[in-house]
Amino acid sequence: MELNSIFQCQKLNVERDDRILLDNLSFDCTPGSLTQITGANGSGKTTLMRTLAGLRPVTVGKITWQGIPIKEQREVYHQDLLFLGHSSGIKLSLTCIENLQWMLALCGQSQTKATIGSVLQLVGLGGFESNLARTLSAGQRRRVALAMLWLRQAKIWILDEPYTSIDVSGVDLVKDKVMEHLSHRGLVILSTHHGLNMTADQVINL
Amino acid sequence: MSVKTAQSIESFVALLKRDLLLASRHFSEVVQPLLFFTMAVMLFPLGVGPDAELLRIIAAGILWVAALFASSSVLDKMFREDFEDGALEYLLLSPTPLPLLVIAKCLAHWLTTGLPLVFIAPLLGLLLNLSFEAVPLLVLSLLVGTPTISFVGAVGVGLTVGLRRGGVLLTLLVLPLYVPVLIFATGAVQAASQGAHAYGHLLILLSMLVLATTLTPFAAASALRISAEMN
Repeated sequence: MELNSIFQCQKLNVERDDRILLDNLSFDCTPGSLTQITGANGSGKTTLMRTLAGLRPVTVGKITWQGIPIKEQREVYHQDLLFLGHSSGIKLSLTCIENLQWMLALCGQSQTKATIGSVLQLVGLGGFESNLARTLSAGQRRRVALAMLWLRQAKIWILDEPYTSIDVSGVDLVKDKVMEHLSHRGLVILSTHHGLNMTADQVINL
Repeated sequence: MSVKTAQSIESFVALLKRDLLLASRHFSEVVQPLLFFTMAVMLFPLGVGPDAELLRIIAAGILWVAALFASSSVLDKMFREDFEDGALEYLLLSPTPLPLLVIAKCLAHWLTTGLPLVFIAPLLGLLLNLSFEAVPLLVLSLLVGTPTISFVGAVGVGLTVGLRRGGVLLTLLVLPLYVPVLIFATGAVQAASQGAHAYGHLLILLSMLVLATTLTPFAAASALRISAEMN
Protein backbone atom coordinates (compact mmCIF):
# COMPACT_ATOMS: atom_id res chain seq x y z
CA MET A 1 0.00 0.00 0.00
CA GLU A 2 1.44 3.33 -1.00
CA LEU A 3 1.52 5.95 1.69
CA ASN A 4 -0.36 8.71 -0.11
CA SER A 5 -2.90 6.69 -2.07
CA ILE A 6 -6.41 7.99 -1.54
CA PHE A 7 -8.31 5.42 -3.59
CA GLN A 8 -7.70 1.77 -2.84
CA CYS A 9 -9.10 -1.44 -4.10
CA GLN A 10 -8.25 -4.39 -1.86
CA LYS A 11 -8.70 -8.04 -2.76
CA LEU A 12 -11.78 -7.27 -4.77
CA ASN A 13 -13.91 -10.01 -6.30
CA VAL A 14 -16.22 -8.99 -9.09
CA GLU A 15 -18.95 -11.36 -10.11
CA ARG A 16 -21.85 -11.09 -12.44
CA ASP A 17 -24.68 -13.57 -12.95
CA ASP A 18 -22.99 -16.08 -10.61
CA ARG A 19 -19.83 -15.96 -12.68
CA ILE A 20 -16.61 -14.68 -11.13
CA LEU A 21 -15.14 -12.14 -13.53
CA LEU A 22 -12.29 -10.85 -11.39
CA ASP A 23 -10.65 -12.54 -8.49
CA ASN A 24 -8.51 -10.92 -5.82
CA LEU A 25 -7.93 -7.62 -7.63
CA SER A 26 -5.93 -5.03 -5.68
CA PHE A 27 -4.64 -1.64 -6.76
CA ASP A 28 -3.99 1.82 -5.32
CA CYS A 29 -4.37 5.23 -6.91
CA THR A 30 -2.52 8.35 -5.83
CA PRO A 31 -3.67 11.93 -6.51
CA GLY A 32 -2.65 13.01 -9.99
CA SER A 33 -2.42 9.47 -11.33
CA LEU A 34 -4.07 7.90 -14.33
CA THR A 35 -5.15 4.28 -14.12
CA GLN A 36 -6.08 2.54 -17.33
CA ILE A 37 -8.25 -0.56 -17.33
CA THR A 38 -7.88 -2.71 -20.41
CA GLY A 39 -9.28 -6.06 -21.42
CA ALA A 40 -11.15 -7.89 -24.11
CA ASN A 41 -14.92 -7.63 -24.55
CA GLY A 42 -16.67 -9.49 -21.78
CA SER A 43 -13.66 -9.40 -19.46
CA GLY A 44 -15.61 -7.35 -16.92
CA LYS A 45 -14.39 -3.79 -17.56
CA THR A 46 -17.81 -2.20 -17.26
CA THR A 47 -18.81 -4.37 -14.30
CA LEU A 48 -15.58 -3.35 -12.54
CA MET A 49 -16.14 0.34 -13.34
CA ARG A 50 -19.71 0.19 -12.00
CA THR A 51 -18.45 -1.52 -8.85
CA LEU A 52 -15.75 1.13 -8.38
CA ALA A 53 -18.40 3.84 -8.79
CA GLY A 54 -20.55 2.24 -6.10
CA LEU A 55 -23.36 1.19 -8.44
CA ARG A 56 -22.80 -2.48 -7.63
CA PRO A 57 -22.23 -3.86 -4.16
CA VAL A 58 -18.82 -5.07 -3.07
CA THR A 59 -19.29 -8.68 -1.98
CA VAL A 60 -15.70 -9.71 -1.33
CA GLY A 61 -12.90 -7.20 -0.73
CA LYS A 62 -12.91 -3.50 -0.01
CA ILE A 63 -12.91 -0.23 -1.93
CA THR A 64 -11.80 2.76 0.12
CA TRP A 65 -11.83 6.47 -0.61
CA GLN A 66 -9.61 8.59 1.63
CA GLY A 67 -9.18 5.61 3.90
CA ILE A 68 -12.88 4.87 4.51
CA PRO A 69 -14.85 2.14 2.67
CA ILE A 70 -17.10 3.77 0.08
CA LYS A 71 -20.24 2.06 1.31
CA GLU A 72 -19.79 3.68 4.71
CA GLN A 73 -19.61 7.17 3.22
CA ARG A 74 -21.64 6.93 0.05
CA GLU A 75 -22.69 10.58 -0.04
CA VAL A 76 -19.16 11.93 0.55
CA TYR A 77 -17.73 9.61 -2.09
CA HIS A 78 -20.37 10.50 -4.65
CA GLN A 79 -19.80 14.19 -3.98
CA ASP A 80 -16.18 13.66 -5.07
CA LEU A 81 -16.95 11.28 -7.95
CA LEU A 82 -17.66 11.96 -11.58
CA PHE A 83 -18.78 8.76 -13.32
CA LEU A 84 -19.34 8.51 -17.02
CA GLY A 85 -20.94 5.24 -18.01
CA HIS A 86 -21.95 3.63 -21.27
CA SER A 87 -25.35 5.25 -21.46
CA SER A 88 -25.08 8.99 -21.18
CA GLY A 89 -28.41 9.68 -19.46
CA ILE A 90 -29.21 12.45 -21.93
CA LYS A 91 -32.95 13.17 -22.17
CA LEU A 92 -33.84 13.37 -25.85
CA SER A 93 -36.73 15.79 -25.29
CA LEU A 94 -34.60 18.33 -23.46
CA THR A 95 -32.14 20.83 -24.93
CA CYS A 96 -28.38 20.52 -24.35
CA ILE A 97 -28.45 23.26 -21.72
CA GLU A 98 -31.50 21.80 -19.92
CA ASN A 99 -29.82 18.39 -19.84
CA LEU A 100 -26.61 19.72 -18.33
CA GLN A 101 -28.55 21.82 -15.83
CA TRP A 102 -30.40 18.87 -14.32
CA MET A 103 -27.30 16.69 -14.36
CA LEU A 104 -25.31 19.33 -12.50
CA ALA A 105 -28.14 19.96 -10.05
CA LEU A 106 -28.32 16.25 -9.20
CA CYS A 107 -24.58 16.36 -8.50
CA GLY A 108 -25.34 19.20 -6.10
CA GLN A 109 -23.74 21.82 -8.29
CA SER A 110 -24.88 24.57 -10.58
CA GLN A 111 -23.47 26.71 -13.36
CA THR A 112 -24.88 29.72 -15.16
CA LYS A 113 -26.33 29.32 -18.63
CA ALA A 114 -23.44 31.40 -19.97
CA THR A 115 -20.85 29.02 -18.49
CA ILE A 116 -22.68 25.97 -19.83
CA GLY A 117 -22.95 27.69 -23.21
CA SER A 118 -19.22 28.40 -23.33
CA VAL A 119 -18.39 24.79 -22.43
CA LEU A 120 -20.74 23.54 -25.14
CA GLN A 121 -18.87 25.84 -27.53
CA LEU A 122 -15.62 24.27 -26.36
CA VAL A 123 -16.77 20.70 -26.95
CA GLY A 124 -17.85 21.60 -30.46
CA LEU A 125 -21.56 22.11 -29.86
CA GLY A 126 -21.63 25.87 -30.36
CA GLY A 127 -24.97 26.83 -31.88
CA PHE A 128 -26.66 23.66 -30.59
CA GLU A 129 -27.28 24.96 -27.06
CA SER A 130 -31.04 25.19 -27.49
CA ASN A 131 -31.46 22.20 -29.80
CA LEU A 132 -33.31 19.20 -28.46
CA ALA A 133 -30.91 16.30 -27.84
CA ARG A 134 -33.16 14.26 -30.16
CA THR A 135 -31.86 16.25 -33.14
CA LEU A 136 -28.19 15.54 -32.33
CA SER A 137 -26.05 12.70 -33.67
CA ALA A 138 -24.75 9.93 -31.37
CA GLY A 139 -21.33 11.58 -31.24
CA GLN A 140 -22.84 14.97 -30.43
CA ARG A 141 -24.96 13.46 -27.62
CA ARG A 142 -21.81 11.90 -26.22
CA ARG A 143 -20.16 15.32 -26.31
CA VAL A 144 -23.02 16.76 -24.25
CA ALA A 145 -22.34 14.12 -21.57
CA LEU A 146 -18.60 14.77 -21.82
CA ALA A 147 -19.23 18.48 -21.17
CA MET A 148 -19.70 17.42 -17.54
CA LEU A 149 -15.91 17.02 -17.35
CA TRP A 150 -15.60 20.79 -17.72
CA LEU A 151 -18.63 21.78 -15.65
CA ARG A 152 -18.54 19.48 -12.65
CA GLN A 153 -16.07 19.77 -9.79
CA ALA A 154 -14.92 16.32 -8.70
CA LYS A 155 -11.72 14.78 -7.37
CA ILE A 156 -12.04 11.34 -8.89
CA TRP A 157 -13.14 10.58 -12.43
CA ILE A 158 -14.24 7.09 -13.42
CA LEU A 159 -14.70 7.07 -17.18
CA ASP A 160 -16.01 3.95 -18.86
CA GLU A 161 -15.06 4.02 -22.55
CA PRO A 162 -15.15 7.82 -22.81
CA TYR A 163 -14.06 7.73 -26.46
CA THR A 164 -17.07 5.77 -27.70
CA SER A 165 -18.64 7.36 -30.79
CA ILE A 166 -16.61 10.58 -30.71
CA ASP A 167 -14.26 11.62 -33.51
CA VAL A 168 -10.48 12.26 -33.41
CA SER A 169 -10.82 15.91 -32.42
CA GLY A 170 -13.16 14.87 -29.59
CA VAL A 171 -10.67 12.28 -28.36
CA ASP A 172 -7.93 14.95 -28.25
CA LEU A 173 -10.24 17.29 -26.39
CA VAL A 174 -11.01 14.68 -23.73
CA LYS A 175 -7.36 13.69 -23.51
CA ASP A 176 -6.28 17.29 -22.86
CA LYS A 177 -8.98 17.67 -20.23
CA VAL A 178 -7.87 14.46 -18.50
CA MET A 179 -4.25 15.73 -18.48
CA GLU A 180 -5.41 19.02 -16.98
CA HIS A 181 -7.38 17.19 -14.28
CA LEU A 182 -4.30 15.09 -13.45
CA SER A 183 -2.12 18.20 -13.22
CA HIS A 184 -4.56 19.54 -10.58
CA ARG A 185 -3.92 16.39 -8.54
CA GLY A 186 -7.13 14.82 -9.71
CA LEU A 187 -7.44 11.09 -10.07
CA VAL A 188 -8.62 9.33 -13.21
CA ILE A 189 -9.61 5.71 -13.76
CA LEU A 190 -10.37 5.11 -17.40
CA SER A 191 -11.28 2.07 -19.42
CA THR A 192 -10.75 1.92 -23.14
CA HIS A 193 -9.95 -0.54 -25.84
CA HIS A 194 -8.81 2.22 -28.15
CA GLY A 195 -5.23 3.36 -27.97
CA LEU A 196 -4.79 5.84 -25.14
CA ASN A 197 -2.47 8.56 -26.61
CA MET A 198 -1.08 9.24 -23.15
CA THR A 199 0.97 7.39 -20.60
CA ALA A 200 -0.99 5.79 -17.84
CA ASP A 201 0.64 5.55 -14.42
CA GLN A 202 -0.63 2.02 -14.15
CA VAL A 203 -2.38 -0.33 -16.52
CA ILE A 204 -4.66 -3.03 -15.19
CA ASN A 205 -5.27 -5.74 -17.71
CA LEU A 206 -8.29 -7.88 -16.95
CA MET B 1 -29.54 25.80 6.79
CA SER B 2 -26.43 23.79 6.02
CA VAL B 3 -24.85 23.65 2.59
CA LYS B 4 -25.80 19.99 2.37
CA THR B 5 -29.49 20.72 2.97
CA ALA B 6 -29.53 23.55 0.44
CA GLN B 7 -27.85 21.27 -2.08
CA SER B 8 -30.40 18.51 -1.48
CA ILE B 9 -33.31 20.89 -1.92
CA GLU B 10 -31.75 22.17 -5.14
CA SER B 11 -31.43 18.62 -6.51
CA PHE B 12 -35.02 17.88 -5.47
CA VAL B 13 -36.38 20.95 -7.25
CA ALA B 14 -34.24 20.34 -10.35
CA LEU B 15 -35.48 16.77 -10.70
CA LEU B 16 -39.11 17.82 -10.19
CA LYS B 17 -38.72 20.60 -12.76
CA ARG B 18 -37.05 18.23 -15.23
CA ASP B 19 -39.84 15.68 -15.02
CA LEU B 20 -42.56 18.31 -15.36
CA LEU B 21 -40.74 19.78 -18.35
CA LEU B 22 -40.49 16.31 -19.92
CA ALA B 23 -44.20 15.74 -19.30
CA SER B 24 -45.06 19.05 -20.93
CA ARG B 25 -43.08 17.99 -24.02
CA HIS B 26 -44.87 14.61 -24.13
CA PHE B 27 -48.32 15.98 -23.58
CA SER B 28 -50.06 12.99 -25.17
CA GLU B 29 -48.68 10.81 -22.39
CA VAL B 30 -50.33 13.06 -19.82
CA VAL B 31 -53.67 12.90 -21.63
CA GLN B 32 -53.65 9.09 -22.03
CA PRO B 33 -54.52 8.06 -18.43
CA LEU B 34 -57.13 10.80 -18.39
CA LEU B 35 -58.80 9.43 -21.51
CA PHE B 36 -58.49 5.88 -20.17
CA PHE B 37 -60.26 6.97 -16.97
CA THR B 38 -63.04 8.72 -18.89
CA MET B 39 -63.57 5.83 -21.29
CA ALA B 40 -63.59 3.19 -18.57
CA VAL B 41 -66.19 5.11 -16.54
CA MET B 42 -68.35 5.77 -19.60
CA LEU B 43 -68.43 2.09 -20.52
CA PHE B 44 -70.19 1.12 -17.29
CA PRO B 45 -73.61 2.66 -18.04
CA LEU B 46 -73.48 0.82 -21.36
CA GLY B 47 -72.66 -2.42 -19.60
CA VAL B 48 -75.05 -2.36 -16.66
CA GLY B 49 -77.87 -0.48 -18.34
CA PRO B 50 -79.16 3.08 -17.88
CA ASP B 51 -80.81 2.47 -14.50
CA ALA B 52 -80.10 5.81 -12.79
CA GLU B 53 -80.68 4.47 -9.26
CA LEU B 54 -78.33 1.51 -9.75
CA LEU B 55 -75.63 3.78 -11.22
CA ARG B 56 -75.94 6.16 -8.26
CA ILE B 57 -75.24 3.28 -5.87
CA ILE B 58 -72.21 1.92 -7.70
CA ALA B 59 -70.81 5.26 -8.94
CA ALA B 60 -68.18 5.59 -6.18
CA GLY B 61 -66.88 2.10 -6.80
CA ILE B 62 -66.73 2.52 -10.57
CA LEU B 63 -64.93 5.84 -10.35
CA TRP B 64 -62.36 4.60 -7.88
CA VAL B 65 -61.63 1.30 -9.60
CA ALA B 66 -61.28 3.12 -12.93
CA ALA B 67 -58.95 5.65 -11.26
CA LEU B 68 -56.83 2.80 -9.86
CA PHE B 69 -56.53 1.17 -13.28
CA ALA B 70 -55.79 4.49 -14.99
CA SER B 71 -53.01 5.27 -12.51
CA SER B 72 -51.52 1.78 -12.62
CA SER B 73 -51.44 1.85 -16.40
CA VAL B 74 -48.87 4.65 -16.35
CA LEU B 75 -47.02 3.68 -13.18
CA ASP B 76 -44.34 1.84 -15.12
CA LYS B 77 -43.23 5.09 -16.76
CA MET B 78 -42.04 6.51 -13.45
CA PHE B 79 -38.53 5.03 -13.70
CA ARG B 80 -38.57 3.01 -16.93
CA GLU B 81 -37.18 5.75 -19.17
CA ASP B 82 -34.57 6.80 -16.62
CA PHE B 83 -33.47 3.20 -16.32
CA GLU B 84 -33.17 2.70 -20.06
CA ASP B 85 -31.34 5.91 -20.99
CA GLY B 86 -28.96 5.81 -18.02
CA ALA B 87 -30.37 8.89 -16.27
CA LEU B 88 -31.11 6.68 -13.25
CA GLU B 89 -27.35 6.48 -12.66
CA TYR B 90 -27.29 10.21 -12.01
CA LEU B 91 -29.93 9.69 -9.32
CA LEU B 92 -28.07 6.76 -7.77
CA LEU B 93 -24.73 8.60 -7.84
CA SER B 94 -26.11 11.86 -6.52
CA PRO B 95 -24.78 13.07 -3.16
CA THR B 96 -28.42 13.86 -2.36
CA PRO B 97 -30.13 11.01 -0.44
CA LEU B 98 -31.97 8.80 -2.94
CA PRO B 99 -35.27 8.65 -0.97
CA LEU B 100 -35.54 12.43 -1.35
CA LEU B 101 -35.11 12.13 -5.11
CA VAL B 102 -37.70 9.34 -5.16
CA ILE B 103 -40.16 11.75 -3.50
CA ALA B 104 -39.48 14.25 -6.29
CA LYS B 105 -40.16 11.55 -8.90
CA CYS B 106 -43.39 10.47 -7.16
CA LEU B 107 -44.55 14.06 -6.83
CA ALA B 108 -43.92 14.74 -10.52
CA HIS B 109 -45.69 11.50 -11.42
CA TRP B 110 -48.71 12.39 -9.29
CA LEU B 111 -48.91 15.95 -10.65
CA THR B 112 -48.97 14.63 -14.23
CA THR B 113 -51.13 11.50 -13.82
CA GLY B 114 -53.10 11.59 -10.55
CA LEU B 115 -54.02 15.23 -10.25
CA PRO B 116 -55.71 15.49 -13.68
CA LEU B 117 -58.04 12.65 -12.59
CA VAL B 118 -59.12 14.71 -9.59
CA PHE B 119 -60.25 17.52 -11.88
CA ILE B 120 -62.27 15.42 -14.29
CA ALA B 121 -63.83 13.12 -11.65
CA PRO B 122 -66.70 15.46 -10.58
CA LEU B 123 -67.94 15.61 -14.15
CA LEU B 124 -67.86 11.84 -14.50
CA GLY B 125 -69.52 11.52 -11.09
CA LEU B 126 -72.47 13.55 -12.26
CA LEU B 127 -72.58 11.43 -15.41
CA LEU B 128 -73.09 8.40 -13.15
CA ASN B 129 -75.85 10.18 -11.23
CA LEU B 130 -73.69 10.57 -8.11
CA SER B 131 -75.51 12.82 -5.64
CA PHE B 132 -74.32 16.44 -5.36
CA GLU B 133 -73.40 16.04 -1.68
CA ALA B 134 -71.01 13.20 -2.52
CA VAL B 135 -69.10 15.08 -5.24
CA PRO B 136 -66.86 17.11 -2.86
CA LEU B 137 -66.02 13.89 -1.02
CA LEU B 138 -65.18 12.17 -4.30
CA VAL B 139 -62.74 15.00 -5.12
CA LEU B 140 -61.25 14.96 -1.61
CA SER B 141 -60.84 11.19 -1.56
CA LEU B 142 -59.09 11.28 -4.94
CA LEU B 143 -56.93 14.20 -3.83
CA VAL B 144 -55.72 12.26 -0.80
CA GLY B 145 -55.81 8.77 -2.33
CA THR B 146 -54.08 9.23 -5.70
CA PRO B 147 -50.73 10.42 -4.23
CA THR B 148 -50.75 7.27 -2.07
CA ILE B 149 -51.10 5.28 -5.31
CA SER B 150 -48.03 6.99 -6.80
CA PHE B 151 -45.93 6.50 -3.67
CA VAL B 152 -46.85 2.85 -3.08
CA GLY B 153 -46.48 2.20 -6.81
CA ALA B 154 -42.93 3.57 -6.76
CA VAL B 155 -41.81 0.57 -4.69
CA GLY B 156 -43.26 -1.83 -7.25
CA VAL B 157 -41.71 0.14 -10.12
CA GLY B 158 -38.34 0.08 -8.36
CA LEU B 159 -38.53 -3.69 -8.07
CA THR B 160 -39.65 -4.40 -11.63
CA VAL B 161 -37.80 -1.72 -13.61
CA GLY B 162 -34.89 -4.06 -14.37
CA LEU B 163 -37.16 -6.69 -15.90
CA ARG B 164 -37.75 -6.59 -19.61
CA ARG B 165 -41.49 -7.10 -19.37
CA GLY B 166 -42.21 -5.80 -15.92
CA GLY B 167 -45.47 -4.02 -16.77
CA VAL B 168 -48.00 -6.75 -16.01
CA LEU B 169 -46.04 -8.08 -13.04
CA LEU B 170 -45.98 -4.56 -11.65
CA THR B 171 -49.76 -4.30 -11.85
CA LEU B 172 -50.15 -7.68 -10.12
CA LEU B 173 -47.73 -6.59 -7.41
CA VAL B 174 -49.25 -3.23 -6.57
CA LEU B 175 -53.01 -3.64 -7.12
CA PRO B 176 -53.50 -5.71 -3.94
CA LEU B 177 -51.68 -2.98 -2.01
CA TYR B 178 -54.30 -0.47 -3.16
CA VAL B 179 -57.16 -2.40 -1.55
CA PRO B 180 -57.16 -0.36 1.71
CA VAL B 181 -57.18 2.89 -0.26
CA LEU B 182 -60.07 1.63 -2.38
CA ILE B 183 -62.11 0.52 0.64
CA PHE B 184 -61.83 3.75 2.60
CA ALA B 185 -62.11 6.03 -0.43
CA THR B 186 -65.31 4.46 -1.72
CA GLY B 187 -66.52 4.25 1.89
CA ALA B 188 -66.08 8.01 2.22
CA VAL B 189 -68.01 8.77 -0.96
CA GLN B 190 -70.79 6.32 -0.11
CA ALA B 191 -71.13 7.69 3.41
CA ALA B 192 -71.48 11.20 2.02
CA SER B 193 -74.06 10.18 -0.56
CA GLN B 194 -76.15 8.68 2.28
CA GLY B 195 -75.83 11.89 4.24
CA ALA B 196 -73.47 10.46 6.88
CA HIS B 197 -70.19 11.89 8.12
CA ALA B 198 -67.17 10.83 6.05
CA TYR B 199 -64.43 12.43 8.13
CA GLY B 200 -63.37 9.12 9.63
CA HIS B 201 -62.76 7.59 6.22
CA LEU B 202 -60.92 10.69 5.04
CA LEU B 203 -58.69 10.73 8.10
CA ILE B 204 -57.75 7.11 7.56
CA LEU B 205 -56.97 7.91 3.89
CA LEU B 206 -54.87 10.83 5.08
CA SER B 207 -52.96 8.66 7.53
CA MET B 208 -52.29 6.17 4.71
CA LEU B 209 -50.87 9.05 2.67
CA VAL B 210 -48.64 10.09 5.58
CA LEU B 211 -47.42 6.52 5.94
CA ALA B 212 -46.84 6.17 2.20
CA THR B 213 -44.91 9.43 1.85
CA THR B 214 -42.68 8.70 4.82
CA LEU B 215 -41.97 4.99 4.36
CA THR B 216 -42.20 4.07 0.68
CA PRO B 217 -39.40 6.42 -0.55
CA PHE B 218 -36.91 4.37 1.48
CA ALA B 219 -38.25 1.06 0.16
CA ALA B 220 -38.35 2.37 -3.42
CA ALA B 221 -34.79 3.70 -3.11
CA SER B 222 -33.50 0.31 -1.97
CA ALA B 223 -35.44 -1.43 -4.71
CA LEU B 224 -33.94 0.88 -7.33
CA ARG B 225 -30.41 0.22 -6.09
CA ILE B 226 -31.02 -3.53 -6.30
CA SER B 227 -32.44 -3.19 -9.84
CA ALA B 228 -29.42 -1.11 -10.91
CA GLU B 229 -27.00 -3.67 -9.49
CA MET B 230 -28.31 -6.28 -11.89
CA ASN B 231 -27.63 -4.02 -14.84
